[in-house]
Amino acid sequence: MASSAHSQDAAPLTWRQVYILPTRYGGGLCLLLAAILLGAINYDNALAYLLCFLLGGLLLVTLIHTCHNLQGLALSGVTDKPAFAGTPANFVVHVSSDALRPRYSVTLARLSPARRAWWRRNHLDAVIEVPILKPLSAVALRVPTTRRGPLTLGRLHIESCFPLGLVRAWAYFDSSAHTIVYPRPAGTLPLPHHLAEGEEKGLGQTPGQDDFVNLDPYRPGDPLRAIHWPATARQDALVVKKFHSGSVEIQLRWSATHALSDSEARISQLTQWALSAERLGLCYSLELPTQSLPTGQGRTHCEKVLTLLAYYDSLV
Amino acid sequence: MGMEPISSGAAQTVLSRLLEAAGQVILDKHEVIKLAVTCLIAGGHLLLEDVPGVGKTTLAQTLARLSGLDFQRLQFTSDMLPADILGASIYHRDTQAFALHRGPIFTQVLLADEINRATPRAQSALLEAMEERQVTLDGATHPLPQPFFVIATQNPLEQIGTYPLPESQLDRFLMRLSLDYPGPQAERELLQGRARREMLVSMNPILDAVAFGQLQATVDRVHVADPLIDYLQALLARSRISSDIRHGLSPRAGIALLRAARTWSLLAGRGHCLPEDLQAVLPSVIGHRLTPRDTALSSTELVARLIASVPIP
Amino acid sequence: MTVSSDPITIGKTPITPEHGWWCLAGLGSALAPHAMRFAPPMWICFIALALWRMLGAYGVLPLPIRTHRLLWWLKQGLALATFGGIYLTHHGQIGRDAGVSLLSTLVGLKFLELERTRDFYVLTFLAYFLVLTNFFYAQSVPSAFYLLAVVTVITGGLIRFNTPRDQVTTGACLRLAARMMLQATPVMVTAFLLFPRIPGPLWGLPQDAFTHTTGLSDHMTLGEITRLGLSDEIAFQVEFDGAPPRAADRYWRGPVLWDTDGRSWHTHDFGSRVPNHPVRRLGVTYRYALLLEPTNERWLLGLDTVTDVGDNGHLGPDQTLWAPQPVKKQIRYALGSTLAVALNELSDAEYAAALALPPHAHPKTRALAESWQRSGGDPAASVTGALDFLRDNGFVYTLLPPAPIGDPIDDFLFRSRAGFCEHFAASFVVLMRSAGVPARVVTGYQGGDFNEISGHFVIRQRDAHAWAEVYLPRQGWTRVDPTSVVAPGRLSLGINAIADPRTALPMIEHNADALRAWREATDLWDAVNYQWSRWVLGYSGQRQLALIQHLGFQTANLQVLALSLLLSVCGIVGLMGIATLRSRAPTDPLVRHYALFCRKLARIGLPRAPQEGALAYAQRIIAIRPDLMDPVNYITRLYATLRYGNTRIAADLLESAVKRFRPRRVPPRLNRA
Repeated sequence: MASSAHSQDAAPLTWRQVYILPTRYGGGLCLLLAAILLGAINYDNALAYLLCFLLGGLLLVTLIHTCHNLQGLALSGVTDKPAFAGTPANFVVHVSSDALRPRYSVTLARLSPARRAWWRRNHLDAVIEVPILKPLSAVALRVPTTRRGPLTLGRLHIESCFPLGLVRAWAYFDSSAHTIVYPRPAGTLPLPHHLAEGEEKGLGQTPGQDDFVNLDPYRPGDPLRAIHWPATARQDALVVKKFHSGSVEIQLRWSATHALSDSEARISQLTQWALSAERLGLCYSLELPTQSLPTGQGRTHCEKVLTLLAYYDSLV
Repeated sequence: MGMEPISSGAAQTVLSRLLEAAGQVILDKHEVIKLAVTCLIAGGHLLLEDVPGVGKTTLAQTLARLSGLDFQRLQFTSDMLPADILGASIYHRDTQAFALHRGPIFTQVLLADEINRATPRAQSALLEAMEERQVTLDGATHPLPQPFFVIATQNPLEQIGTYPLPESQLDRFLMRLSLDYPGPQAERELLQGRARREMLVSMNPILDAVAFGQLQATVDRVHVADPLIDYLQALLARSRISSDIRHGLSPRAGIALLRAARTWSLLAGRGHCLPEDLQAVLPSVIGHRLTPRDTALSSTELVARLIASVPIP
Repeated sequence: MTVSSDPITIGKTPITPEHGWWCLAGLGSALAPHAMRFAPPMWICFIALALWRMLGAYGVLPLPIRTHRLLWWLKQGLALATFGGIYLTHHGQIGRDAGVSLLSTLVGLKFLELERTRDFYVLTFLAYFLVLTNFFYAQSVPSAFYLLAVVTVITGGLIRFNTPRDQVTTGACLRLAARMMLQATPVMVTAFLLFPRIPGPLWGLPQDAFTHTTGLSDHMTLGEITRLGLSDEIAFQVEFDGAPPRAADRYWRGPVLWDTDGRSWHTHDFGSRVPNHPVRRLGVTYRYALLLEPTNERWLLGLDTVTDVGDNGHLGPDQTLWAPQPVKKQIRYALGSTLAVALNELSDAEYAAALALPPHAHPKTRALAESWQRSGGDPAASVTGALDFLRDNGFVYTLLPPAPIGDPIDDFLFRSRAGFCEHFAASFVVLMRSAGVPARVVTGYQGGDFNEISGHFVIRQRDAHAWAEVYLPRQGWTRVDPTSVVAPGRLSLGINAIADPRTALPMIEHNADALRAWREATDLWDAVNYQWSRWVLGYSGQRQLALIQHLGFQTANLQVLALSLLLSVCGIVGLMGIATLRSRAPTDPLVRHYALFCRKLARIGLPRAPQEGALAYAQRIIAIRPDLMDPVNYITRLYATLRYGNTRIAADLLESAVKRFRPRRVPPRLNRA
């Protein structure tokens, strides 16, 4: 189940999965020890020898302490929320520790997909300190987003330099959590007012129209005020208007953004329209060259629209 | 309710007889029958979600008959009013008074067929009565019989013109099961053999209300050890933070799980509950309580992932 | 439950004033012992810089960081000024003192610059280095413990820097530091014992490399030994092999002073002109080991006449023991001495030196001596005459003689008649020489206190003594101690009986019991210090060799030592790692036994998945390996009942069942019936 190299969900870190190296301060201490040792040899000073070996022993002991600080931690779940391109995506990482002892100065970060060199120390995004005082702690990793589309959390990097800062221990967690990055809403074009052959706010008197797209047969239990009396009178059967609180419908069409040349700008504009429509309580549908979504309203519908826009591949 | 519990061995004997008898009527669906019986003994309501014609009604009738309980079937329609379910006071001209007519809900096993065709108002009347185990008519409270079960059925495909139960109401059902099509052998037997209804009529009840009560009391005596509670809590905690699940399990779900698991242990003839029992009832008990984040995931898949990611302590 | 924090950068903890205080605590306590050794400007400078930084941290003063150009230049100027000052003070020599002053100034300036993480670590390492510098001045037990405490504080500062402030208290940091140092002790001791002692020094030592020494030197002026009479410092310590000689016989010979210019006496280098004279032993030889404090001189001390030198040096013609190098650190050597010897030979050069007196010096003394020579003529008679003179003329043996007027010897013998041993010895030798008897002044120590607890003698600077040796025709060189006629108790009872300068607390001076308790306490302390000096500070290459051979290795060369050191350290660290990092076995015995059962099955290729229940696992096993059905079923049922049921069957049934379970990898071949 869990590979030995990198820890997966809920498997606590064993000492084999923890990498340890001295930090540059550890290297500095080694230089100091060499200097003290030279002094001890030169002056044949017993206490100088003792000091050198005490500090050397301290360095060796801290290897164990730092490894022990990370050992036993496990990644026990990640929850995520979708985000818009340009704003950071929030991944809440739940870290559990198998023992009740507190751990200090543990940092969690995400390996940035650009895979920069580790010695340049900018290979990590979203570094955060994890206070591990309880068996289950949660931290929010704010992953920067630039492009729309799917975003995988990927590999997480957890490290600690406790207690002396001379040695760094780190380990990796693989997380399969992913979220969708919606396109950044932008654009200044006004909302399209393509109303379908239905009406605004109730009764419209368009003469010569017999088929009303927004009508349904009456079902017992439907609110009486939704009954469309003229149509009822005409059809001699109870007819209600479409069972939504708002009845204005607009269509968000790809073709309506032809004024913008860049396809990303067009996507952004559509996103902006969708959010405005949702805010105004309108019903809206989406029509893209390759896909479309029927009219709807509400949060789920909005999410569907945004997801479609996020995944849309304009190069098709 | 003050019934004497019996030994787990005796309980198992009786229950296996019940299962066997039910297996003769409903062919080839031993797991589902077992789960359905578990649901009943655990005192919870059952939701059967399936395409029409696979034997939902038959199952309900079988269970009722073999358990020796009163059975009533109620076909829900879209014009059903709460009064049709609960009952109403009807004016009798000759006595010049209102007489209370109890609705079909006053029975021990109620089959609420196609519950998703009723209006939300009718649905809520039924669900409230299920919860309270009593009905208030004209200001007077009438308790429902003991034991009382609702076996509701729902057709998952037919969404047009229906009012599917919302998630918050699904929670009231202990289990959600689906029968699915029978296997070829069973289907052959079904086509060739006796009609199920006749068969059912000719069978004798194996339990009665008293025995039923005793069995329920025995469930309460099934021992639950601390490690098992640890495992249950780990499952609940995991469901709340898993990235696949939108909302986690509530404590009510945990109580339901435990009760179902204990009943399952009893069916296996054990006096104590094991983690395997929890795992066995998990899909049916929480399948309808979890909402996946990724709508492509089926609830079976979701539950399987949950089980796989929680080690048994 | 969600915690959202601002993103941080790894490794960049901001420096708070509290970090500044911790740093200062470490540096200050490491420098504090030096404050007593150096002139005030050094530590005043440091305090001023530290104060500037801390006030800057609280916003009271501006700090000389790069944005404050003027102050930055001021700081650079200050640095140059102090370096220049140090250079001038030590006359351009970079010795121990100069180095420490320089370091403390550097540390102060660096502390002023404390801004980033890197600065904090650099200062911590400098603090450790400052602790080291203390060891070049004092290695006693109290200073060792004090500096251990300082190292703990410095380490605590590091821990504080790496833990969040609101989660860990100061006390917890210090406790962790102490615990880590305790854990580091086995490695420290092993490395100390096994690290090869490379004979140093690797490069030239500065002049002032070692502890400033007090004590005897190769010249003496009247009054010097008197000054030593007030010093409590240990000169050397002796352990006898067998019964020691009595107090009056414990003369410890040091430099022999031949030449005088009227005011001071010097040793005489005979060079190769005078051969060593044979020594005839007339009495019992005492064997002893002497632990000598550093003197920075080449002569070694020995009991009376050293007859068995070993390889510790060589004897000069006047029976002075010379070491090949000046004694710059504590050394221990074993000798054999005889009290009664015959040294009868005298060369011409020695004869001449033993009679030389500066012309026109000590007129009255000479006149007196010549009067004896005229009256008697026998050297022995001159000796007795001089001793009688000293005994009968009201001479006083005191640590506080009056200042001499005119010729010191004449003044002592005829006017003041009060002095210490060197006065008596010097004037006696002058008398002898004036009377024609070859004589020389011998300086050294006399007596010594016996420490009951450790069984050795402690000879302090206040036991310093001077006496004379005269050459008589038949006996050869004979010791004559003029002090004995004036203050006989000095020899038998020690200086304490005569003029006890040993510091005792005023309040217990008159309480005999308290005084005794005080003496015992000081003796115990001396014993501790003696063992410390012997075993820790004196751990040399030879001791190491002995240890290695004791452990069984025949040859103890560099490879053996290095290898054993490496292996031991790895072994110790490995053991500690295993003890800490090993995954904790579950403490519940049931779970442990079942886990063992699962491990046994995993070894033959049938591991249990973490989410698999016991029964499900058993069923799976049996499906694959029906031959294991019985034991697996039994164990699983037992475990399930014990863990999840509430029966009372004995838990060790499970233990024994699991222990008996030995699944074979390959199922046994079924008998084809």
